[in-house]
Amino acid sequence: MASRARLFKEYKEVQRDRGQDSDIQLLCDETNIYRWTALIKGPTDTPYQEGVFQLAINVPEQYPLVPPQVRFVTKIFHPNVHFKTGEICLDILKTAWSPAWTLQSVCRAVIALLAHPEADSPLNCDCGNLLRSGDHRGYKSMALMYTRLAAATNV
Amino acid sequence: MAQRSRVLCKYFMHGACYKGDSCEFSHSWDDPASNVCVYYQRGYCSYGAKCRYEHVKVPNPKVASAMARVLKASTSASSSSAGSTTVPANGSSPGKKSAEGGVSPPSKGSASVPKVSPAVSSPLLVRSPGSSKKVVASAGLNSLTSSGQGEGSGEFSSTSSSPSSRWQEFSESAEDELYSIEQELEVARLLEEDDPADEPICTLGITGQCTRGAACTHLHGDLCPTCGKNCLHPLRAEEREEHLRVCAQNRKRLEAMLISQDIECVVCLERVLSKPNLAERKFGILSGCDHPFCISCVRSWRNGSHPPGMDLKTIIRGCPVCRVVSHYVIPSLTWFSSPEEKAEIINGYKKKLSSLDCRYFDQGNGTCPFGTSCFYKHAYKDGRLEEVKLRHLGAADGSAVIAKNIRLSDFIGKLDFDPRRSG
Repeated sequence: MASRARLFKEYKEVQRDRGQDSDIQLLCDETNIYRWTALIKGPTDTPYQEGVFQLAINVPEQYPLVPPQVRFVTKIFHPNVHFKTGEICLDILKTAWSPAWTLQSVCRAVIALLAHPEADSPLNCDCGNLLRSGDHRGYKSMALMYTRLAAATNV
Repeated sequence: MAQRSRVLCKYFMHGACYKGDSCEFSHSWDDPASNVCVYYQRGYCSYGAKCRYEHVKVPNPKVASAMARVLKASTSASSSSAGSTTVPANGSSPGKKSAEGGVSPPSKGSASVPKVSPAVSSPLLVRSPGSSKKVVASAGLNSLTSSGQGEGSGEFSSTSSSPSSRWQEFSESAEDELYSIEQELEVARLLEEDDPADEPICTLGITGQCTRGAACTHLHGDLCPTCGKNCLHPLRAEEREEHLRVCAQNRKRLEAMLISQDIECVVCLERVLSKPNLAERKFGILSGCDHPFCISCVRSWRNGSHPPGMDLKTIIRGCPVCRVVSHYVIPSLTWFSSPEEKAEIINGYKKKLSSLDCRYFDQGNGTCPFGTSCFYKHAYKDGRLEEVKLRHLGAADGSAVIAKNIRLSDFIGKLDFDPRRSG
C-alpha cells in the first residue's frame, strides 16, 4: 500500500516536470501503476548519443524498500547490460539500493552507466573483453552500430 | 497559577494526568491524597452518612486565617477573663464541623482533622483565589446574619436542605462554642479589606477589548510579550513568572510544529505530519545526519528484510540519502532546526528510556544484545544497576577493541578449516 502511494507521488512529480528533463521520459502503464516504461537518450560524447533506449521498469510490491527491476528493451551493446535479456548490472539496482532513490533517479543512474561502462563486472563478456583489452575503437564502433540498428529507429 | 500543592493529584494516582508539570496538584507519592467530600463543603451531600468521602468541614484558608487573627487578638485581650473560650492553635476549627446528628461522628471527625489541616486541603478551595473571594465574603456575611437571626428567633430547621439553612446550622454550632458576634464581624471586616493581589484582573482587558480603559474598576494586567495578551497580574509575581515560562514553552513548541509541518519524508515523499495514519505522524531522527524521515519508513528500511548481498553496516545502517552511518533512530513529534535542538530531542528520549527496564536484560535474568550501548535501564530486582567492566583487547595493529563474551566456538568458526583438504 505504501508503494502505491509513493508511486502515485512519483507519477504526479513526473507529470509536473514533463518536458524539463528531455533526456528521460517516464511513462506509466495505464492500467498498472507497478509497470513503467522509460525512454532515455544516450549521453553525448558516447557511442550511444544518437539513440533513444527503452527501459522496462517493474516495480515490486515492497518498493521503495526493495529496488525496482529495470531492464533494457532496446538492444544495446554495453559491458554491463546483458545482450539478450537486457538485464542491467548496476549496484544501486541491487545491493546499494536506497529507498530515497526514485524511478527518475534510477533512469539518471542508467544514463550515467552508459557514459561510464564498468568493464570489470561485465554481463556482456564480449563487450567487456574488448574494453579490458584496450580496444576502445572496437567497442565504440560496435556500440555505435547497435545504437544505429536498434535505438535510432525508436525515435 | 501552577503552584504545587501538597495534595496528591487524583489523575496522577491513576497515571493519567495530562497536565504534567503544570498540574497544580502534587505529583509526588509522598503527599497524602485528599479524601474530603466536596459536596459536603457546599452543604449538601446526597449520600449523607453513606458517603465514602470524609464529611469534615474544611475551613477556607482565608476565613481561617482571618479567624485566627481575630481569635488571637481576643484571647490576648481576654485571656484571663474568658475561661470557657477554647482557641484552636492551628486555625482549623473543630467547632465548625457540623453538629448534624450522625453525619459525622465526633470520633471520626476529630481523627481526620489533623490529616486535612488547612494547608493541606487548601487547593480544594484555593484553585481560583480571586474569583472565590466574593463568595467567601458573602458566605461569611450570610452566616453572620443567620446567626444574628438565630439568637433572636431561636428556630432552626435541620430538615431543610437549602444551603443557607445549612449555614445556619454550621454557624449555630460555631457560635455556641467559639465565636461571639463581634468576632464574626471582625472576620467579615478582615475579609472585606482584602489584599489587592487577590483582586482578579479584568477579563475584557486581557484581550484588549475593555473599553473603559483607566476608568475600569478592575485591575488591568500587564502585556505578556510572548502571547500578546494583557494577562500578567501586576501583583502576583509568582503567577507572572509561571505564565511567562509556560507561554515561552508553548510558543517554542508551536514554532517547532510549524517548521515540522512542511517537512517531507525522503522515503515515502509525504509530509510526515500529514500522513493518513495518526501513529505514523512521527519523525525518525538519525544520529549521524539531518535528513528527515518518518519513523515508520526509516524503521522498516533498517529492520526490514533485504535482498542478500546488501551490506548491513554501510547501506542499511546508513542514511538512504547521504549514506552516513547512524547507529540509532530517535522518534520525535517535531523536527529540529538547529543542532542544539536535535541534541535536546535525543537527550530527552534517552533520558526517558533510561528510566524503563530493558526487556532483554530482564532484571538480570537475560542478556541484552546491546550491552552497554542499550538505552534502557539495566537494573537487578533489588534496584542495583548493572556494572560492566569492558575488556579492551590490543589488536596487532596497535588499535584497541572492546571484547565481548568470547567462546571457543568463535575461534573454531574463524579457522579456515576445509575437511576436503585435510582428508
